Amino acid sequence: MISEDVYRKVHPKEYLKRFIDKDVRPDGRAVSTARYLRLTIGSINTAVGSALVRLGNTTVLAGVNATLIRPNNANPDKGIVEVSVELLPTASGESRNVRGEEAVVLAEFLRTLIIPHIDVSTLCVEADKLVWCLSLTVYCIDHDGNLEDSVVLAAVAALRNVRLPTVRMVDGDEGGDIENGIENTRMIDADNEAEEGNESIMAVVSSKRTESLELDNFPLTVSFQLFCEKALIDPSAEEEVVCVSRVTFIMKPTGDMRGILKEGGHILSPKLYNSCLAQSKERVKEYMKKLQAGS
Amino acid sequence: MKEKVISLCEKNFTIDCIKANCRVDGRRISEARKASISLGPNWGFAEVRYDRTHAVASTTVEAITPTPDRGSEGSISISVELSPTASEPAARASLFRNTGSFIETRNCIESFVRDSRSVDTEALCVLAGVKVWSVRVDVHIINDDGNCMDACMLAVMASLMHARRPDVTVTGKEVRIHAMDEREPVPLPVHHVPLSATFGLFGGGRPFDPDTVVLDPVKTEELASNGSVSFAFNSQGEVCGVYKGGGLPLHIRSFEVCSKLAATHAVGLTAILKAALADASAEHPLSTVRPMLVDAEPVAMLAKKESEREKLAAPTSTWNATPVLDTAPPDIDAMETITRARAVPKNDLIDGVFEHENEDDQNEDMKDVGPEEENKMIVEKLIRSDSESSTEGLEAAIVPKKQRKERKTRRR
Amino acid sequence: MAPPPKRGRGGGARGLEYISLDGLRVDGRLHTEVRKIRCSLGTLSRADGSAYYEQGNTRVLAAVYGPREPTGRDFEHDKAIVKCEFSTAMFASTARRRTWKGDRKSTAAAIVVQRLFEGVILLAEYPRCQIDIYVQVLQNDGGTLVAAVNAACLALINAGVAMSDYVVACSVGYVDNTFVADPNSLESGSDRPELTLAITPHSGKICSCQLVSKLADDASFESAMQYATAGAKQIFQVLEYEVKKYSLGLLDSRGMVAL
Repeated sequence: MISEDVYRKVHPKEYLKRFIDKDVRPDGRAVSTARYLRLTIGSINTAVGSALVRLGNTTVLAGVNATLIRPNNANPDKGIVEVSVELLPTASGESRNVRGEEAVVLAEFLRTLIIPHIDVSTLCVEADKLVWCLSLTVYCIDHDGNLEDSVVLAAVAALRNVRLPTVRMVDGDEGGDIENGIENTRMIDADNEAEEGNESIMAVVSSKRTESLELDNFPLTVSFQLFCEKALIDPSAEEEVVCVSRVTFIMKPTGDMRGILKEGGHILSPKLYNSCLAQSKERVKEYMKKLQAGS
Repeated sequence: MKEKVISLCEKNFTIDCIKANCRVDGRRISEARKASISLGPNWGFAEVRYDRTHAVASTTVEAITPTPDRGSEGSISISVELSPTASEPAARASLFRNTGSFIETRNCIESFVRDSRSVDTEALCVLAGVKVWSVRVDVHIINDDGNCMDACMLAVMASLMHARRPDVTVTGKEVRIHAMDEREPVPLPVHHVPLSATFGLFGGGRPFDPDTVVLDPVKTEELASNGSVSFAFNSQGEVCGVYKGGGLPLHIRSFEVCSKLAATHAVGLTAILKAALADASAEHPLSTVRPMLVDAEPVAMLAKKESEREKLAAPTSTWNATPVLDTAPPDIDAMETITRARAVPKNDLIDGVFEHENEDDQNEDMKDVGPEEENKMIVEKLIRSDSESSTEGLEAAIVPKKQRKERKTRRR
Repeated sequence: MAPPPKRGRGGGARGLEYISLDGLRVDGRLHTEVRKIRCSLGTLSRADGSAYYEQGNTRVLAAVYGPREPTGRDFEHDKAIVKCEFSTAMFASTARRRTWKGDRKSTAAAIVVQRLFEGVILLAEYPRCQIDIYVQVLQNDGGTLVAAVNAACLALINAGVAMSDYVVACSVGYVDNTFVADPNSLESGSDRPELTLAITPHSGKICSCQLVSKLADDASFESAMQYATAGAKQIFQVLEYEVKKYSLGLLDSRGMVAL
């Protein structure tokens, strides 16, 4: 007889199957129970918006940086949003290549989901002169499965938490003093500085951050792993290694479904589909509760 | 890049030598190799040799448009490269340029030079927001025989002091840069000259073992050592930077002793540097302008009155201002000077750190020779330029013991 | 330990007085006081050892993987090798960061941490192994190297790696003609002298020392070292308490100790 640890390492699939047949999972949850979600919003004070998501052991930190730049010629009245995801070495101790690939995939996933929902024209201060550039960076600090959901939730929470200072354009010199808490800043486009003859732009940036970002109808995702004709909601890292087919439901904040992402793998029967949809609706309600409590 | 592996017997031999206060090449543990500087035909080209360690530095000055956030300051950047000729592992790894230890050296030198404001970046501004000078120093290590850090640092400072930038005329918003042969080129604004002293650390590594520090380690010593610490001082005794990147944990008393030794070392090195600069500019065909020397000239240091000279030396120790780095021909006079320089009063700071033989012997020596004679000996040594080969040095290290005993009996 | 500082002259770039008339600094500390420290061990689930460390507003996360099989081709036959990666989050500081992860400061800091622990970890205990230390700065308010060293020390203890002693770091700045312990980002500018010191607290030996910018004379250097050592000893008390608390918690959870 081999011990439990050895069996777990050597036959992971059989190990998991034994649990799933009884409708439980190795960490004690039921098949349709997700892990406890903890959401902390606005804890990083050097970022204009931040959020920390803890889904069981999975920890994801998202932060948003805002800078004022000159818009590019193609879109003179639109701001810029940059999204990047990084899997830290602290997350899983894997080599840099493996982490890099996973991060790129997640970044692309996040980009396609989030960017369409941000109205970049609201990020414009003055057309052709000054716009905001927001860079959203998501760090996966600890990887215990279900990074997709955590990353999306953290990104959404961080963006909702963004508070930008008010900016108003001025002509000519208004001096560089600090008065009434409003600081005069001289803005020059840092990206095209090499050209001679670029006039500098004067803008007044308030030191208080009050304006929030309009994020209409943001997406929320709920992921499942299909295994033995059951759908495991919110899979952990151990389960993800064994199961090969993931299906992600993309939901609206109201609970309606917006889309579904399924890249090959096992067949999703109509019955299973309906049960997953119902679970996703419930899960979205939980997300919304936490989001509203935090912000 | 894997560092050259040192065999156990080499390592043990090196460590035993150090314990006996006589290093592999015959020096004492607090003695540095003689530095020789040669300033090239081009402005800003400097070659430094620490016996066999050879580094070459070259400074180029370019007028550029400044970045908007630093509109009225020039910039200085330093790059250190290990040439494939430097050592066997370097040749094998010649594809991989920036290895760990050379990033450390580069960062260290940049921090010593840049952060201590030795070059005044604000004086490098031509016209605020329009044109500034960007100074770039490139160092190549041609041969690595230990202590590349000090050699590179000296090369960088020599190169910066020897470099010239084109003269410039500013009329309103227009900047006109004159060619080097049109108008006399102008030296760079160097405020002070930080020079570094690197010590190799040896010790058992257990928390309460005594540490031994060795000034200017050779390659074998570097490989056998447990880390190193570098101090940068200028000739005014100001500490311009300290870098100890891990390695053996060092007691704070050793630290203090090292810093005093480094301060003295820097004074001596500065003298040599200024002598070299004076020679170089005298020979340069176009030079009618003397290089911009910010502090005391080399000869002045020697000719100063005794009281002033004592002030230059470390204030709280009784070390003489003898430039310890000078390994003149190993004759009795030299050994005596060095012995006297190491003369240790009953000072808690140094006890147990630097190993030395008969304390009584040294105290006696100290009383014998007067300050005037010391002066003369110092001047003589600085004028003498040749250094002997290392084997003779080794012999000399063994010989004086007997001779010193003879002298002792003679004196009595 | 030292007399209270002379009052500030009201210097500083924006007319800011770094030390007020009462001898208090911008954030209300005395000149010998270190910022408030909060730390916890074992924060990450997959790392062999991990620690989260906060010193004032500087937040750092450290993870240790190892001793494990070497990932690359280099390994030593008679001792372990230590590798370190140091990275800062993009939103960690208010200044715009355009540089990528491999920038100079990060590599320099990584090298310092690696060399430092190479000297303290008993490498001979783990031949042909590799110990990886990963440090991530989440928020930067000055003193990131100090926080990195302290966090890495806790993470190594959490991972059970054998070390000869704790390693505790502290930095000392120089504002308004006074030495101040643990300067924050406002007090440590690019042209101010700053001394970062890492010591082994039980023996008081110096593991790593970095002085940036020049100090007036040798005597000040010695007093800066004293300030740093005193600060490091303050920090050590916090770290030691935290480790003991965590260890007792572990023992209690296994029923070995009745708390």
